Amino acid sequence: MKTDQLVNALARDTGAQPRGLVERRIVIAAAIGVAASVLLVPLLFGFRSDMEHSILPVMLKAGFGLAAALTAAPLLFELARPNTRVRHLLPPALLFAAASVAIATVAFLTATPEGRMYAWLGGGVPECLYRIPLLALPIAITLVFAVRGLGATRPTLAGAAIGGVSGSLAAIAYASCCPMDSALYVASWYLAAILFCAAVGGIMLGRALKW
Amino acid sequence: MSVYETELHALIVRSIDGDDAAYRQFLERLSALFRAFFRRKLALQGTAHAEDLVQETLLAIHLHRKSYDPNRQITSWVYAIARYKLIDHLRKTPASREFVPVDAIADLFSEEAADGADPGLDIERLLTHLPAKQSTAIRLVKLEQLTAKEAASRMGVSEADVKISIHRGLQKLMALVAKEETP
Repeated sequence: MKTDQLVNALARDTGAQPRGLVERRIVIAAAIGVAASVLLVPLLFGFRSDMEHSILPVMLKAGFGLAAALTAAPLLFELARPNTRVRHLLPPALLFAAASVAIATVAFLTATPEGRMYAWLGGGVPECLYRIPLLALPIAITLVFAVRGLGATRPTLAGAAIGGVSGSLAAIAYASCCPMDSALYVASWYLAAILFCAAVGGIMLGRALKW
Repeated sequence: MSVYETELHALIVRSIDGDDAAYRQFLERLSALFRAFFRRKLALQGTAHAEDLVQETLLAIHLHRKSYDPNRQITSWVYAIARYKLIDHLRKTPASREFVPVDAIADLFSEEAADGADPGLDIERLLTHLPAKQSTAIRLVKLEQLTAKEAASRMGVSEADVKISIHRGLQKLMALVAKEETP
């Protein structure tokens, strides 16, 4: 087939295109994924038992996840399409991570020596390290479906952005079952879990986003 | 802002609003630009695949045009796709250290349409690899100029079905073209 034949064929009967599709698709997919992830919480872990007394810490922890998601989302909106420029979008996400590390450091230093290790680790291996990635799974799956077909030209980075966003949103869902309220715990392990999701996303999802 | 940007942007905005003539013109301008682009970039490897890449890129642009945001530059958007296709091609093709033959040097300066023919592989032939429904839909609507509605009544399926078949078929076609290119 000659090129002008192809051009003629493609230009025939195409019709108007929707606008703002990238953002809309990602937001809808994220909403579906978060809903699935919230439903998974009682099935897998159960809500925390003292929920009625701990609305405030739960909200604060959900706020942490939301803030992380808001700094990561612009990166995903950008990386989902061809021709991406992300450098100017990085500072909010980096600032958020740096602030989180700073909070953890201050909280670690100001904690009483005897309570310090418990506040940091919650007695044993921090559970959120595997629970947040687990809850991030449905969100990552819906996001991959949304982003596929949008033509990401940096698939690995797009995969990392999907991981970061889904990890952040999963932290919101996880807040409702997480029994640890110390700032030290949240600032260090929630952040670590989100970064872990981003790394896995970059490694695993990049391939799924190739076209 | 380049003269291409102004022109291409005007055309793509009109085609997003459903103006097929503008879209055709847009694709025609692009094929000339890409032809020059791929010939330049493939000068060292030989330009045999340049026309395939032009077609592949046009197809990719067609399939991804829904993710184009009119507030952004169109030239950088289309070249990002062309570059992606180019890198994909180079990655699949074993490196060759050939020099440009003196006779072929004119190819380096090919800026305009002139010879848009002779791609090494034939999309018509590739169509035979698609499921019957998809290839029929593409043939009727894209090659025989029927509207989706006419094709639907001829094929005895719904109009939406025809459109979905075309979309899926084009996607599969793009994958086939990419695979075929691998030596």
